[in-house]
Amino acid sequence: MMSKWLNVVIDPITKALHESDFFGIRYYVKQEISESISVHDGAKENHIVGDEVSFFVEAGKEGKKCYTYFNQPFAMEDIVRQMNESFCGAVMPYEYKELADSFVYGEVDLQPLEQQKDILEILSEAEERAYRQEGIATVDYCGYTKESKSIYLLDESGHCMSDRNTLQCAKLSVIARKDQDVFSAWGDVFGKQISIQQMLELSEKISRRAANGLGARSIKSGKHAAIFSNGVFSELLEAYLPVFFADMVQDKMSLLEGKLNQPIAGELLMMCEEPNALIGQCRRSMDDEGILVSEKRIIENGRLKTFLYNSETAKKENKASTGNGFKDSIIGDVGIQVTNMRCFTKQPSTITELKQSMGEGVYITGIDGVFAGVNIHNGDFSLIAKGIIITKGQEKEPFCDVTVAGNFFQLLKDIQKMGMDECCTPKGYASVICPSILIKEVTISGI
Amino acid sequence: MLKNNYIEAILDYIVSHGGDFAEVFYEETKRNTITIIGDRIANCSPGEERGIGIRFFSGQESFYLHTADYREENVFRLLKEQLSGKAMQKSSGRLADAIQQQLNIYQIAPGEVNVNQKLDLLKKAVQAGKDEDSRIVQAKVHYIDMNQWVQIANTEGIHVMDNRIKTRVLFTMFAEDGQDSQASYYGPGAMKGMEFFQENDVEEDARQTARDAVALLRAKECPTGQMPVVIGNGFGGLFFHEACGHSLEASQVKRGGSEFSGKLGCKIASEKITLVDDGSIPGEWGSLSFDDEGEKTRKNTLIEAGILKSYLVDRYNGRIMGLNPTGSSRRESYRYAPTSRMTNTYIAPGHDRFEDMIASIEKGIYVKKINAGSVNSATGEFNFNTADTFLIEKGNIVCPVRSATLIGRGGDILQNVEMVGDNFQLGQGFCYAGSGALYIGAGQPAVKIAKMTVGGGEV
Repeated sequence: MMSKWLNVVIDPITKALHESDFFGIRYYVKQEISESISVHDGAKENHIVGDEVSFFVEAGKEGKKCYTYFNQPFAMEDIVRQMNESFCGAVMPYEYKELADSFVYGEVDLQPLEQQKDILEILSEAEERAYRQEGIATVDYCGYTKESKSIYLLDESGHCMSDRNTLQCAKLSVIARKDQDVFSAWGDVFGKQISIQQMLELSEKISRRAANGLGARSIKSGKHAAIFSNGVFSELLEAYLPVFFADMVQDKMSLLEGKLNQPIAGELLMMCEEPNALIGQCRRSMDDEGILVSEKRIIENGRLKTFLYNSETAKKENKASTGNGFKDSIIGDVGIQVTNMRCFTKQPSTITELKQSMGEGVYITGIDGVFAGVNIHNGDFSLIAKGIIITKGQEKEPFCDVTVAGNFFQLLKDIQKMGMDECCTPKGYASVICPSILIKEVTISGI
Repeated sequence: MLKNNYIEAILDYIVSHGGDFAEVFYEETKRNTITIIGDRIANCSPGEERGIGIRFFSGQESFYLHTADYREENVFRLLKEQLSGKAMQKSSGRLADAIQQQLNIYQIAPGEVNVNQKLDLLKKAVQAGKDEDSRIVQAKVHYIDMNQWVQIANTEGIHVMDNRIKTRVLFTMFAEDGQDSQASYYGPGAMKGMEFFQENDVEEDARQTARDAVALLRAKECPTGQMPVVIGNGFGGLFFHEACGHSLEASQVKRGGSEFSGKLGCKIASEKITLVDDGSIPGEWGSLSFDDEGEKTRKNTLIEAGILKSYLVDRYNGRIMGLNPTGSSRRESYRYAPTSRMTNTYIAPGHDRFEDMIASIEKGIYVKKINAGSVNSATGEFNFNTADTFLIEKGNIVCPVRSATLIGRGGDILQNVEMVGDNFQLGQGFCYAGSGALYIGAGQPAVKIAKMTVGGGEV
């Protein structure tokens, strides 16, 4: 049992820290076992295996909060030295809270990938399917990843809470060419298990998307009504999630400060955190402070209902944590993040209805440069984009080499209709699930 | 660090079980990270990690394994799970003692300075930024120092050790005036120890960042459409990092995955362009003595007077392409397999004057600072977001405008470079790609592009 192994490892650390006058010791331990395989021309190309355990320890000394991280649990002297270094710069008061009890949530699948039936054959079949699409010149990447993560929270009283899950992900990236024209597309599919059918459907979808983009050209600059596809809206909202986090609000870095219970979006918009969302990436039962995650409404009928809190930010407002205390990485203290964030409306439309409602405009199907081109403080965004021109409610022709610019806070207010075609952000992003949306106007810059 | 006989045992095991190349990468890294927001210390975290990454090839198949538990019993357990079967009578040979070359002549190691001294310096800088203007509503600094030791050995006779010390601060200043809200960023860094703070006036850096944020308030909307662009010196070089740098990495070029695949010796840019990647510049943020495959870093001239002379090549992709490594293989940590990446990438200075570039433009924009960008190497589509941006009209810089994203295709834009200035500078940043987050330098003199698509808000 991992927790028994952990107690063997951390008990000496606890003893050494006590001897150095640290008290109230708590550990955050992350175990990650990962494996990925990719193919090229039907043969295995790259195979990567990772086996990692990382530790973060926090404790109090003279009433101050000290913490450090390490991955060599037997290097006792180094750990104590690092904690004493942390004490030198410590200013925050430390409040030790024992974990509520010992729980184990979730489970992991540690079977090696190559023992899974026919994984290389499935990848090869997916690669071959992509080439069947006319115009596909290169399958840049065709691979499969399995990650098993276990989070353990332990305190010096012997309690241990753990949250474990396994996520599998298949990813495909292709390049279509015709003469001098080039168009690329990529996508992924993920879940606890991925079926052969899902892999093959991904292959066909991505290769079709790439081939259909050939011939895309830039379009005239101007203001246009727009549909943001489900993938585009998910990616954009993901970039702006921090404006809903209490630390950003309290540090005066979010324009939503002071806007609780006020309308911040069109009345049709609902935004909820759903830890159990079926198509979400995240499978957590507790946050990184041991508090159970929960469903909550962040935007209801366009009104802002709550921010998201960890323990520290909740305490500043005499509130309870909303179970959103998550660590960005092993290095720093607990910050704020979501499990699965979902946007929807009570009366959704089909994508055909969105196009017909719009009549004339642009259907933005892809964006890039999000990490650079969004300003989360004032809401402005300017991103490279591609899509399809819509004329009389029908798809006319593809376009690319344009930017789409606007303001996120204004966009929320300008949502006129929402679709029913939900999709989740790709793996590696925070898990955000959105449908396509019709909005009043964006600025396109092209020729 | 690891003993020679342990490394030899790993390499021997791989070679005797079918590998035709094997490599061991071992790392010990100490980091200190500090984040201060206003008068609050949001994070102050020392820490240390060690780990091992083992790679081997068999033809064009590669395998990589990484773990923090570098003890012999664990490493061989993991190797045996992947490489079983009867061992052949093969050996990797005797390993020579490690070579170490100190490119990084630091004076004060980060660990020699008490954390309170670092906090004092940073708090003063943050306060200086906040005090610069009453419209500064929040000030933030993120500080990192890193002391990394790596040991790299392979079956081709390489055995090296390298010590990399890095220090960097990133200031963010937030300005509001009741109607608008803007932020500005600046992140100087170096391959230096704490002498970085003696050589750089970080309080003035914070004040200038604050001034930049305030200047953006009430900035006009940036124009939209295609127009001439002048990109400023220094970190403006990120433009070329995105427009063509990634597309010259062997990991992209192999098998036709880049718009510059198969174009060695061809003219791919204006004859004004000479593009260099050099990881051997002493003291620079993106520098390292040996790359992460143990090859000595060097000055690689990628484009010379518009002609494509070289790609950035790592060992694995070089094997596929039939090219030798260029000392360009990098990884964020032992958790990543190395691949071809940039170090300090810059456009060599030319002879044109910045003033003449501005004077030559009827209507366009001047990008003084760049935030960040990205590229699709297959199609050449790149983008970057501007920080301090100004409108040029009738040959004069007239007013600040709000930031915008500029886009283009690398192959087209490189041909459209009309003027290259004489005011070279190198800036510092991070690059995020397949082998993790890397410290990189990006530099250039001021450059004029005849025509680019500018994604402003004004139509």
